[in-house]
Amino acid sequence: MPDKRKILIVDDDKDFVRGLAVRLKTQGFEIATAPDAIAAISAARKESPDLILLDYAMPGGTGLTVLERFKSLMVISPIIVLSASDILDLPNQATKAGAFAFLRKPVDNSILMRTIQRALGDGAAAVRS
Amino acid sequence: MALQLVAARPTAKSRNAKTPPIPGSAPMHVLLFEEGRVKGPSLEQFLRPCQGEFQISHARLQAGTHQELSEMPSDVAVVDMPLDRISSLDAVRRTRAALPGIPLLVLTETTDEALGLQAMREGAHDCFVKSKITTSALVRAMRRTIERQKLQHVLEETRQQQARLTDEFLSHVSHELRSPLAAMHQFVSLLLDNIPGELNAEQREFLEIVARNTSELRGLIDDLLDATRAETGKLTVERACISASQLIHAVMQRYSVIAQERGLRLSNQLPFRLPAISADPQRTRQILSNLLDNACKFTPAGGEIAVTVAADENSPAFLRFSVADSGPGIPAESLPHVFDRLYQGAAVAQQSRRGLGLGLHITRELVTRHGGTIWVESQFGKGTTFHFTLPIFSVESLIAPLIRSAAAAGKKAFALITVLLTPPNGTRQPFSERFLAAAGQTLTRCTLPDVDVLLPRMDGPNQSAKFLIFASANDKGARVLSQRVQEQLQSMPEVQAEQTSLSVSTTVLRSSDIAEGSGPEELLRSIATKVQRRIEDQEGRTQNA
Repeated sequence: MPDKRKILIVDDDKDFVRGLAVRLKTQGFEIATAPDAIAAISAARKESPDLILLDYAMPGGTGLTVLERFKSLMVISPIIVLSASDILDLPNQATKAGAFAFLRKPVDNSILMRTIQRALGDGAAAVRS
Repeated sequence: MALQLVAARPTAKSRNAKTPPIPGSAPMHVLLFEEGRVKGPSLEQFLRPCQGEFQISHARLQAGTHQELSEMPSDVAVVDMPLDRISSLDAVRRTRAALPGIPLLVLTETTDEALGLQAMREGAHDCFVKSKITTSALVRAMRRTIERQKLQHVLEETRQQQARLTDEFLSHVSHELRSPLAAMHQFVSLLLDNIPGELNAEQREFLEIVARNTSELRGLIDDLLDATRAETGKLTVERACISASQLIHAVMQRYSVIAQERGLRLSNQLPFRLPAISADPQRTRQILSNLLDNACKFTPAGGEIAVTVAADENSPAFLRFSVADSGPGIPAESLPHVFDRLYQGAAVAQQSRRGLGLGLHITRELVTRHGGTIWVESQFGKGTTFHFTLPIFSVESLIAPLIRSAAAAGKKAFALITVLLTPPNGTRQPFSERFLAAAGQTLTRCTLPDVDVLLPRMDGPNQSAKFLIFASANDKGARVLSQRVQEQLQSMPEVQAEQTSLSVSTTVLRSSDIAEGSGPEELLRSIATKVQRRIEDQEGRTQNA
C-alpha cells in the first residue's frame, strides 16, 4: 500500500477545516486536524505530519506563537500560514518566523495545491515515492 | 557648551500694572531667544510685574544645540526679533525647527504688519509689537497660546488614536467577513469540481452564480479596506523591477475571457521592447484590472477595448499605460469627479448593483503611491480612455547617490557583482519567496550601507533569480566582496540542501574606461548606461531562452 503524505490542518473554523479536509483527501493526502494552539502542538508531535496548514488567528495563541513553539519543539514539517486577517506585515512576520509561505483566505485552490507541492519539495502530489 | 543659559537680567522699571497669577498654577517656563541687536524693552521688563509666574531662560540657537534645547523645560518660546528683516525671519525659522512642538511667540519693535504675518508663516503662533502691547495683554496671549497648543496636541493624539482604532476595527471586520467567505468558497468549489458527485447542468449553473457572487463580495471587502487604508495613509506599495509586458499579458489573459463572454473585442498594442518598471507587481495588476473591469462593465456588446503602452513624452522617466473603450463615455461635468471617493456617475446610478464607488479612487491612490499620475479623457457618446504612468526601472536613480559621493571622494573604479541562483537541475521549480527573501538578506549583510547598492531582484533564465550589487570598490575590494558573497550564500542551509547552483561574476568599471576626465554626472550616466545595458542583455537572453 502506498505511503500517504499527512497534512495537519490547524484552524478553529470548523466549516473551513471540513471543506479543506475533503479537498485535500481527494488529492490523496491523509488529514489530521487541531482546533487550537495547544491541540496543534500535541498533534504535531503525535502525528508527525509532512506538512502543516496553520491558521493565524486562533484561541490559545496566534499562529506566530505557535510557529515559535513548533520551532522550539524541533518540528521540521514545512508550515504554510493561512489567514483571513488583513494585517499588512503578516506575510513578512510569518516567513521570518519560519513559515514556508503565507496565503490569504479565501485561498484559490490551485494556488494552495501548488504551494503545498512546492513545500513538500516535489511535483508528485500526495504519495511518497 | 554651545548653549548659553544666562540668568534673567535685573530689569528696568515695569511698564504696566501687575496681572494676577492664575491661582495654584506652576510657573511657566519661557525660553527666550534674543539674537542680534534688539530694540525696545526686553521680555523680562514686560514680565517683571508677574514674577513667580514665569521662569525665563535665555537660549541661543547654534549648531548642535537642538538636542539640548529640546531637553530644556519650556512651555513657550519667545523670539525677540532683531531689527534686520532677513535675520529676524531666519531666527523664527530656526527656532521653529529646533523646537517643533512648542508654542512660539514673536516680539518686535517694528510695526511692519507684513513682517508679523511672515513670521507666522514661518511657524510663529502670534506676533506682538512692543510699543503697542501691555504686560497684561502679553501675559494673556502667552497663556492662551500655551493652552491652544495643548488642545491642539490633544486633538492630534485623538486623531491618531482614532485612525488606529479604525484600522484595528477594519482588520477585525475584514477577518470576520472573509472567514465565512473562505468556507463558502471552499464548499462551492468542492461541488463545482464534482467531488461529492456529478452535478446536472442547472445545478452547475446555479452554483456558478454563487461562486461569482462570492468573489464579488470578496472584491468589495478588499476595496473597502484599501480605501480606508488610503485614508489613514497605510496603503503601501512594495516596488520591484518588473516586466511591464509580462504583467500586461497576464492581466489581459484573464480579461479576454470576460470580454469574450460580453461580446467585446479586447486588444493590445505594445512596443516591441518595453523597459522594466519599478512598481509593486500585485498593485500594478490591481490598477490595470480596475480599469479593465470598468471598461468591460460600461462598454456595450460589440464594443472594443484596447490597452496601449508608450513612453510618456511629458515625463521621460515614466511609462504611460492607456485603457481605451468604445463605451458611452463620461459627461464632461462628471469628468473632474471620477476619481473622487464614493463618486458614482449617472450610468452607474441606474444599475441595480452600483458597487461602492471606490475602484477608481483606489486606483488613483495606488498610481500616486508609485509616484505616477492618472487622468481620463472622454467624449460623451464615443468612448473613454484612462491613462496612467508608472516609473521606469532606472539603475541611474538607484546608484546616483553612491556615484556622486564616491566621485566626490575621488574614487575612480566601481564594481558590478552579478549573483545568479539557479534551482537544482531537472526540477525547474521556481524558488520559494522565503528562500529569495533570505538570500536577499544575506546579500544585504555582505554589503556596506552608503558604499554598495543591492539592486532589486530580477528574474533570470530558467526559473533562476538574479541579484546585482553595485559597489564603490576597486579590483581588490571587488574580489573581497564577491568572495564574501560566495561564502555567505554557500553557507545558507537552503543553498546546500537544495543543491542550488550559484554563480557570482564580477566586473570592475573604471572611470578612465568611460570618459576622459568626466565629472560625476557624466560618470553616473555612462556607468548607469553600462549597467542597464548589461541587465537588458541578460534579459534579452532570458527571453530568447
